[in-house]
Amino acid sequence: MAYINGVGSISTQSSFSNLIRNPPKNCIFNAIEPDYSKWMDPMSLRRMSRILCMGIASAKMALAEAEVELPDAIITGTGYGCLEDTTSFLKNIIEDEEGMLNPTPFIRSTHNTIGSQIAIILSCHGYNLTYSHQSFSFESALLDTLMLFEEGEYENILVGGVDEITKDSHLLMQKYGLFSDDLIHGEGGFYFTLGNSPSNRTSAQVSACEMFYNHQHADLQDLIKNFLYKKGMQISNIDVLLYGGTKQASCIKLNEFIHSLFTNTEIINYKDYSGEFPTSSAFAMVLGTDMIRKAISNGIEQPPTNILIYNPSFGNHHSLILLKR
Amino acid sequence: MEKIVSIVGLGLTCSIGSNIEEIIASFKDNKRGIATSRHLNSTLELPVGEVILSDKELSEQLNLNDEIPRTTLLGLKASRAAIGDISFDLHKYKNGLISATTVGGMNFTEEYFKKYLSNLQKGEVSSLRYHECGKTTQFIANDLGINSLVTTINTACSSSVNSIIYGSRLIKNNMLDIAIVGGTDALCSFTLNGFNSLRIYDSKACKPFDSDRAGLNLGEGAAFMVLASQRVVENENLEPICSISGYGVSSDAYHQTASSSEGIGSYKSMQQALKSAKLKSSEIDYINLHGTGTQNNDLSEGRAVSRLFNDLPALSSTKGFTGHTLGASGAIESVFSLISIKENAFLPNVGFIKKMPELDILPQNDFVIGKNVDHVLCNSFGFGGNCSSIIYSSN
Repeated sequence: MAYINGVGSISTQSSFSNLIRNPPKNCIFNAIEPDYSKWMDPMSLRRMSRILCMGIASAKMALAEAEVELPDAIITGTGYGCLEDTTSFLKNIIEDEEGMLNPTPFIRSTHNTIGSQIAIILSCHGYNLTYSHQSFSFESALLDTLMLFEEGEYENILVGGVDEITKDSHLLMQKYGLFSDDLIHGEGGFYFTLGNSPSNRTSAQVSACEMFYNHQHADLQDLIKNFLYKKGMQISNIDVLLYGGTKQASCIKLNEFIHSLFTNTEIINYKDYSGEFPTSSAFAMVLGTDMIRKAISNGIEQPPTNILIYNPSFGNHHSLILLKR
Repeated sequence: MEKIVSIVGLGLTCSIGSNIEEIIASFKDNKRGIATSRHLNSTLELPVGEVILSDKELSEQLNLNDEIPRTTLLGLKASRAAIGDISFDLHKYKNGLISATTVGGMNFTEEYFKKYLSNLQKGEVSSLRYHECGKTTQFIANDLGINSLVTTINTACSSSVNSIIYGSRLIKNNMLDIAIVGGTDALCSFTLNGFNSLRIYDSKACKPFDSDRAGLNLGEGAAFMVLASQRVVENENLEPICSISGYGVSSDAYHQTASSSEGIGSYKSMQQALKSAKLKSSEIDYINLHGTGTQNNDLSEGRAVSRLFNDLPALSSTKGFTGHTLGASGAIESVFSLISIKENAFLPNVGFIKKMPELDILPQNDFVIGKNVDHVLCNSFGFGGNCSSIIYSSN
């Protein structure tokens, strides 16, 4: 269990209270980027790639909101890693025929660059990990965070998910036939300052997180029920389901199944607003936190208490995150 | 000292062998696995620690029909060997796979880009589906029938020690009973050119911790271990190989590619490992150094080790044998650390001739059997300052 004390996000949405669904053409939904100079000095801005800016800025937003200067640990999930620099260096190798190359894109291409750069900027010597496993990337980082709090040694942990769209990555994924009107390519940078104890900045709690690889439909009901049961809950206790299913043909049966299971729950297909990318569940966690926070501050009579995020990515990676008020 | 988890099976492949006997033979003879590449499609003639078998030979050995990237082939070879090393059915227990890689399917991606850059329509775009780090792990998970927790770590050179640590913690926190942990990385043009562009690649066989060291050599390989909870050990009446007694994970937070001169991150990760194992530095019998052979790493690591240990234990870097196997290095060198414990031997630092002037560090010259080795500290320090250390202990 952990308390969400700060949130930072750079996403397709300018406001989580007023979600916009219609992306521009070509199945691409780019993030709305802030003025990075608010979060980074000019020299850093010149040196950093776009994905590094997204990660660093959203991390700083999360820390500022939580009023935490130095987290005890920094844990990052990224499915695609630093694509722009990877592609750049690859192109350089081929075009320069392995001549003496500029090392900068190589240096920035490793997946752990995001987490490492945040550590360097903050002078944070604490635990620092990067997970890169498709749609389990953010969840792996979150599970690690929850375990660290269980182990009892940490007070504040910065945990996030970051993935970018580049011109080449979109072109190639389109060529492969991945995206369509039913599956839009999204991106974003999302960090959370999670605390071991509540503060006056606390918006919500992360109660649990689990990943299930390669499970059949038939198992899903039991998996979801057991996941909730371990937290003393049932499906009927879930007020909102932030569901990562899509309109693709391969997902239709699952969509019907989920609707039949969560009959008294508000179901939001969050990928309509985030697009599809490996760390999209981090977007969902920002959305869920925002829903709880806004409802409380607007004095809504029955604000959502339990929000479940379920991302069944590509049919074989199923993850669950439970948020509570 | 308190045992965290037990190691009950292992498997590996690298340039000096694919089983323990071959590796010990290489150590005994100080026989390096460093030469120019036979399989890599690169014009750079740099010494590498290459696994002997070609992709085709690996595929045949593994009974695979489809072409898959080399990183996955190496990973399958090592993970199957690790599972073959255990006598019980791991599917009876809550199990998971935590792997690590830095390059993933890059050798396929490189080939694709060569065609794509000349003509956007050329090349088989479906080969890119193997690119992501997680895809390598997914292949191994499918092969082993792992059906629950699967994930991949990428923290550059410290990746696979981190996957071993993460697996240990999942067992310690009762989330898993069995964790298959390790990592895999294949040689590819991307990393070869990358390290060469940084001008830290030795054009000859590397000399870790030597005064005249001129950089690293890259290597490739994979290693996996089967970690088990006490419950499994007792249920199955197992005699563990060794146990994991401590670990430390820290960040140097200094520079993307260079370590701080005092080795802040390395010092902290080693210090944390000792603290978590409840061991004094004097109780460490042998250190398997990260020791890449670069000016920067060896000096920083050397300073950190000298500060932490009043009396230095036996120590060495084994990268003179295998090259720097990047994401697989932590796991491969962890297996070497287990060899040190099981054989009661210190491993040699092949390539070392002359002591660094700045420090008083004399690494092991030869494979020396007969010393009592109960606790081994294994270091793994990556780009971005991701520093990890792990302590293996005899039972």
